[in-house]
Amino acid sequence: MKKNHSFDARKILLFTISLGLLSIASWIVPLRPTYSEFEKRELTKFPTFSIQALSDGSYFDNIDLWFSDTFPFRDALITGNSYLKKLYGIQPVQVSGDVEEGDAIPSAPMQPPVSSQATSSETDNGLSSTPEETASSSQTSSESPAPEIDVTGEVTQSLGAVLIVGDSGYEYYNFSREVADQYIGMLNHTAQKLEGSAQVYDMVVPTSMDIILPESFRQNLNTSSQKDAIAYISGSLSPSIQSVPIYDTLKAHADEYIYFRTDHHWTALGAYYAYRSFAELKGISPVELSQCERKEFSGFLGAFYSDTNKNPALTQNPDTVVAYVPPGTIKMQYTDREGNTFDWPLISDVSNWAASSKYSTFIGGDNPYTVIQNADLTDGSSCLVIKESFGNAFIPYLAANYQTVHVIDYRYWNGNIPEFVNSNNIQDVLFLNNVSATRNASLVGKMESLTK
Amino acid sequence: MVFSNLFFLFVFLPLNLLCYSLAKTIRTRNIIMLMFSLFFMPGENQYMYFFWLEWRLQIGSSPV
Amino acid sequence: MALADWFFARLIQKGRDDGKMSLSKVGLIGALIVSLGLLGTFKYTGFLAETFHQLTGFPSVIPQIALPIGISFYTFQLISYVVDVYRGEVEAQKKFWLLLMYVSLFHQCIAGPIVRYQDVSRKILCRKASREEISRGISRFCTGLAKKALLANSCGALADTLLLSDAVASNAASLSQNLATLQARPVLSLWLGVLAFMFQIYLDFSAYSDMAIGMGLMIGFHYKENFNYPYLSRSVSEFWRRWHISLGSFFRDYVYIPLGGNRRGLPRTIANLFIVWFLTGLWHGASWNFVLWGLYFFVFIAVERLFLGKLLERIPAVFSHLYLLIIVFFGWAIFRFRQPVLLNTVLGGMFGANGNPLTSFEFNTIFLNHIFFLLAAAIATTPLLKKLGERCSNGLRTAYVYNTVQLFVPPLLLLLSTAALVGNSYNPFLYFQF
Repeated sequence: MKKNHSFDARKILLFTISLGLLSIASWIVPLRPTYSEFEKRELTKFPTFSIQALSDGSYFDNIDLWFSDTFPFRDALITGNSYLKKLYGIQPVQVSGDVEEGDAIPSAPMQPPVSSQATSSETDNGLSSTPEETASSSQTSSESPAPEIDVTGEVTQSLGAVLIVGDSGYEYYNFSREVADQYIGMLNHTAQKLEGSAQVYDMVVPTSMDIILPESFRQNLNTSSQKDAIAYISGSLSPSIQSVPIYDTLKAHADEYIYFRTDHHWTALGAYYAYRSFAELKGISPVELSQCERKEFSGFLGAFYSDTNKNPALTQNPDTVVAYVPPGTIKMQYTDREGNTFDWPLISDVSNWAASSKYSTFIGGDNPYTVIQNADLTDGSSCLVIKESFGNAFIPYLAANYQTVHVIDYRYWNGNIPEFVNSNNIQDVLFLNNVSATRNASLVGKMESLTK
Repeated sequence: MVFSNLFFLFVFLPLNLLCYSLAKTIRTRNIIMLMFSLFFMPGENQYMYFFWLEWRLQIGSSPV
Repeated sequence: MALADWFFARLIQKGRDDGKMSLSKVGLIGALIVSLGLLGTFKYTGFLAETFHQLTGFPSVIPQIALPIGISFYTFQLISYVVDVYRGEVEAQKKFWLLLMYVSLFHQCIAGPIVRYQDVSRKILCRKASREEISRGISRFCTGLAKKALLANSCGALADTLLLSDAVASNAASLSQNLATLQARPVLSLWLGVLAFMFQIYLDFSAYSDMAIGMGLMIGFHYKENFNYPYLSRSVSEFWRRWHISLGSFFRDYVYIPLGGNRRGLPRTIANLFIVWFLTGLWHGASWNFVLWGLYFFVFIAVERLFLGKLLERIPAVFSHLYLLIIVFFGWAIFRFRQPVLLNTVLGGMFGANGNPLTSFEFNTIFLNHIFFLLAAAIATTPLLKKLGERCSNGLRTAYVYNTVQLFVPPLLLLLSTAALVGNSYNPFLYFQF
């Protein structure tokens, strides 16, 4: 039919044009991104040529991978796709990722083991091994933070499954008996080694899943009770270790902005309440928030956003990072993964940083070693915080009470902690982990290797 | 290579369609299809294709 | 393999032309030995060795042979070629490179349809794609692409979340872990998971056929349809006339009928059916669960042949549809889980035998999160959209609007599919083991 003829011609033309445009766009190499802000990783690079790679087929496979991974307008396309996925169903509440079963939490605490370190193996029983799920057993890391403002590599731990309720995300937690025991053993062993030289504190931080969500709601979920898990851990520690009780404190302030909506971390406010508990336990007077300088950085879209493939629900109410700078003459210096040291402000200005990186305002992000000196204190007081990223929001407050605060991010630091404590005459040693870290075998294993 | 793959969609297929439409005789078109198909085969066939090409060129008068 | 078959086919042709049938026979047998031998070696050696080992403890080392992708497809294409030459249905191709082109044509060498040489032999040397054909090809290709990127992949992700991901499931080392995970799955999660897989495998496979047919049309080849809305069937026999049609017809024409089909009496018919279905199952994969899957269908087809078929035609359509869907549903469960213990767990779990709950908060949430999507996927397994389209294009008033809209559909689908594929490391290719 004549009519169809012209339609056919036009259809062919339209298709050819669109395919042509997209193809040409994808061939323009400079248009290709090299780093994904939201996934916080370097994207695949174009493979280097070698006869070896050519002959075993890996050269072409890698070109294929590079082509797909660095496709132009990648972030925009992913965002677009996630909006399309909104049409999939009814979504007041969403589950993203694979929810795993947790072990039963023992009601009676384990007896603290005598001397020897727990010899549990590296294999975990609560973690899945599928590459495409966001279950965590190992972390992905990117380059170390540079002193410049634009690009930053904040280390991500890929999260367990995330529950999205309305505009907020909550991380699932599954208790692992084996890893929890490993953690307990590590702490007891460390306390024994430091007996007489330093006081060991342990703080396990619950996440928003248990604190913010109503208990009745949470009970229907396939997530382990963090309260019970923390009670189990602290009940199993040797008497020389002081457990900092923060669960109830945080619960009491659950109606305040103590956890981020789009990120798994707690806010500086949440960390402050924990700091007060710590101060009370130690018997020192905590600095008041009113004494601190308040800084605000809005437009934060954190780990939940990227790990749920940019779920649009989380863009409804982006987070604001509020940070408090304690009073005093405080200087900070960090050592990065290459061994270079930099002076850096305790709370840095991240207004121009990427939306996903604003948590780095606290102590310059995650570095192997950081030291904070308060020139106004001369009593020689010092502490060591062994932490993962949750510690960042907490540590600034300590600068008000200690002349020297040493910070070790156990994920990136190498050395021996007891030796470090002794050679630096450190009085207090605080282990600060969020509860999910205590079920992650590789993280706990790393801590073990540092405290032999 | 599979069809639902960005490299296929935006490199292989456009080039294939382009070369095909530019070719005028059926013989050239068939050669084009053969070449692309051999390249498409996953595994080491991509380099085997080069060897095959070499072999063809060496055989002087061929039954083509 | 292509080289050998080309040679043998010419031999057969010469034998035919000269009236020397014995020469032809030699050619045929030679070709079959080489082709099937290579297929068997690459695909089934490990499997045979493993089975032997479990039975007799020998051999102790199982050879791991890398499987060339698509080998099942192009082997069958070559066999169909050689046999057709033998039967005189088509002339042997004198030029090796043209035969090679037919066999290796990227449109169908990886995922079918199994295109028979005689279907395209005329087109090899003489084809011209009309504008209308190119236009149809474009639409077909884009619909296939969208089916795969937008629907099939998400169905797959859903199935993985509700059951167990394929990669993890086939990892024999984590068997106990997998078992534990499956045992804990709520009842509804298992049902919906297998349903999602049922959607996925149809959408995935038919999408590849769509893309192949579309690309073929764009350059003037007409491949036969490979799927005809199989989930609408009313009996298992009908299902296999609508699912993977090129495979079913291959087995019919090259195995079933040569064995005598249904012309040698009932017992022989049943035996022939058994052989065909055993082979069909085996073709899908070198693992006993696939053979079981093939034989599972054999049972129903035999029964239908005996008396059930007539019964199905007489009862109201809704019951026969239900019958088919249930059988196919459980068939896919068998297909998915290679280890029998996992299969048993899943089947038991579907009826609460693992002590698993009926549902869970997570399941309810996931279900609600995907409710419209599942509806869309279900519609995609029916010809609803196609019929709607036909109605519109024929109606006087709607034709113009319909055609105009159709202009923009392919580019739109292309764009949406690209967005779905970017950053989507999840792009499983189910028929990869073929």
